Parts: sequence; structure tokens; C-alpha cells
Amino acid sequence: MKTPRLAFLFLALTWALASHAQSKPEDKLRASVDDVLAVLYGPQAAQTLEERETRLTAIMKQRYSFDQIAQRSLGRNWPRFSPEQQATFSELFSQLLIRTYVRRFNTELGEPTISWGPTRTLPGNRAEVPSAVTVDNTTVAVVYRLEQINNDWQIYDVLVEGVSLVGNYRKQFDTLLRRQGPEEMLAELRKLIASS
Amino acid sequence: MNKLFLCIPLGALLFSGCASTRSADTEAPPAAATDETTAVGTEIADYEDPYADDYEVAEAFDPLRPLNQAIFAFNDAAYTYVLDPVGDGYSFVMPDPAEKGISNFFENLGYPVRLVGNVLQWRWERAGRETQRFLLNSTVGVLGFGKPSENYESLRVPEEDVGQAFGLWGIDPGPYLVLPILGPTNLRDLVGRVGETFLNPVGYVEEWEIEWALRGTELINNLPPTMDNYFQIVEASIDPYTAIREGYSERRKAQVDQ
Repeated sequence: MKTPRLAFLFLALTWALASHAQSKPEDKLRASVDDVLAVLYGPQAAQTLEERETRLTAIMKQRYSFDQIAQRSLGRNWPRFSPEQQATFSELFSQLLIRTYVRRFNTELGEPTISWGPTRTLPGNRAEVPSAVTVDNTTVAVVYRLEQINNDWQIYDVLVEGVSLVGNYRKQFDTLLRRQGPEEMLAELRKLIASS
Repeated sequence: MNKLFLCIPLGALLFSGCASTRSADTEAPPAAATDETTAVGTEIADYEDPYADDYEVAEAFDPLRPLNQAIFAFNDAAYTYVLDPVGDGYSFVMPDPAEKGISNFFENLGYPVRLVGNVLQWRWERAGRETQRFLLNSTVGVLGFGKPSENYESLRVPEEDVGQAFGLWGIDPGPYLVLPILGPTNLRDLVGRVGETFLNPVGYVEEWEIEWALRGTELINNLPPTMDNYFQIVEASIDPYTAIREGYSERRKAQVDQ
């Protein structure tokens, strides 16, 4: 009588602990980063450029919140875009970011070593995970910012050597939108994506 | 220099030089921007950006923008048609380990600059670590061609320089500047860099031929990664001038705050 109950308790407890660990931002992030490394360097590494692109895109779409990145990047200009324009912008911008990310691996780089720092909690169900990426004798500080969305953790900004990716695009878009309207900016974005 | 990649590339700002942001309280509008600041504001005045708090860094102070933009355009052409091909050719003939060794060698020679940068900020502990690093890389690393210090967590020291020390002392970055070929900087960091030239051991080589050969080697050896970074940023940017100005300025600010 006692033993099964204890066993059940124990099971419930480990399950609770496991699922708690599952929902930690650093675990989610590290799992995705490991997936990326597997695509690039693992035994099942992508063989062709297309395969690499497809697999990395899938990982990124899962871990990054591109809608939030889009809204954050437009900042005060967000309401100047109609809902359709906002959706178009989000789609185009995610294409640009993913393409840039995937391109980054076309140069010949050695496998990086990554050391992770302690996660910091930010207000509003958000967290910050610092890391140091070392490739070919060079170490770069990379900080991921994640938000808990639908019981999952998604990246909404990345800071490289203290420079916020979203913050940098905010200023670019804002500069452009001082001179032109949303439609013209979307056209430029399309041109940029098509040009490479 | 920096090869990053588990992140969308963007930072790693060129030319390991200098940067800064203009503090928010000094708001004089850049001369060139006055004609284009009209569109926003009126129609969206009632919208409050929910994320504004996360991005408070003010835009860099850029009163010389027309001039800067002209030099930026010149540099872009020079990188595309001259420096990048030169770097590619060099990379092609030079084996990777040699390139890395040369890069390490010149980085090691930057020790006096980093040491002075630390001392000017009263950072004795970091100055000590820099010194250990220098000694280790100069001896075990054979004159700095190897970089055994990479194997020790404690010998990874944030790079300090004179411009950062000025920043810590509370000196404002001043106007943003784009130098021909050398790229982005600002008045404060430019002054720091001029001072640093006296700290560069290469400047004390007696034969001028050797001195300039060394300088040339350093420049060309740094070209491939630098150009790589530059073009990656440009390709990913809808407004490359702003992307580099802000990225550079923000990175310098982060270095000062570090």
C-alpha cells in the first residue's frame, strides 16, 4: 500500500521537476543552439546549401518570435503600417534576418565553443541568457533575450558585443521612415532581399 | 577580427576602433536632418511604443553627416574595388595558420595600448591580467604568434584603450566621424587613437622600410575578416550608414560601461 503511493509521489515529483526544467529559457535556447550546431557540424550535418538553409530556417522559426521582432523594430512607426503592411513587413523582415543568419555559415569557420553565463530574469516573463562564442581565437559576447510566450521561450532580441540587433534596425527603419512611407520602405526591403 | 555566428551578425563592428553615443540630454538636431524630421510625430502622437524602454540609447550625434556620408560612400567603393580584392588575394596565397599567427602577433603588440587603457581607468587587476597574457603569449606563444592565453578563462580580458578611458572619465564622444579608409570613429576616440600611436612598438622600429612593411602587413592581414564583417553588415542593412554609425557608437558605449 505504502510503496506504490511513494512510487507515485516520486514519479509525480520527478515529472514536475522535469517539466519545470523544460520550461527554463536557457534549456530551450541551448537546445536550439545545439540543433544549429548539429546541422552544421554534427554527424547528420546538412550536405547541401539548400538543405542547410531549410533546416536552419525551421530551427529559427521555432525559436525566434519574428512578429515581436517586427513590432519592436518599427517602434513608434508601427501604427503607421496597416495590418496588412504589418504582416508583410514581418514576413519580409524575417526573410532578411534568416537569410543573413544562414549566409553567415557560408564562410569557412571552425566549430565554435560556447560558454553560457547565468540566466538573468527580466520583468514581464522575460529573461536574458549571456554567452561567449569562441571561434578561431576570437571570442564574441552574445546575449539572447527571450520572452515566455504560450509556455514556450522565444527570442525577441540578440545583443552582439553590446549592440542590440533590434535596436540597430529600429534606428535604420526610423531614419528611412522620416523620409518615406511604409509602402516605399517595404519596396526597399523587397529590393534588398532580391538583390542577393 | 570578429567572426560571430550563433546570432544574427551585426555587431562585431569594424576596425576595432572607437565609437560612442550622444547622451540624451544634449539634443541639438543634426544640421542635415532638419529637413526630414517632419513626417513622424503628428499622425501617431497618441501611440505609445510598448517597447520604448528597451531601446533608450539615443542616436549618435552626427552634425557632419553630409561629409561623413560622402566619405562613407568613398570608403564603400574603396573596400569593394580595392581592399576586398587585395584581402582576397592575400587570403588565397597565405595559409590560414599563418594568417592567424600574424593576426595574433599584432594583437600581442597592442599590449601597451591595452595596458595604458586599463591604467588610465585605474583597473589594476585587469592590467595585471593583460600583463600575464602578454608574457604568456610572448614566451610560450613564441613572440605572440601563438595565443596560449585563449586556454585560460581568466586571461580573456576585455580590450581597453585610451578612448574608453576618456569615456569613463566622463568625456562625451563628441561628433561622429567617418575617416577615409579607417572608417567610423568620433572626436573623443580619434584623440585617443592619435595618442595611442606613440604606444605602438612598430613606431619605434628604426629603419623606416621595416616599420612600414610591418604596418602594411598588419593592415593587409586584418583585411579579410574586416571586409567580411563590413559586407555582411551592409548586405543585411536597409540603411548601411545608420547601421554602422549606430552599431559602432553603441558598441563603444558598451565597452565604456563594461
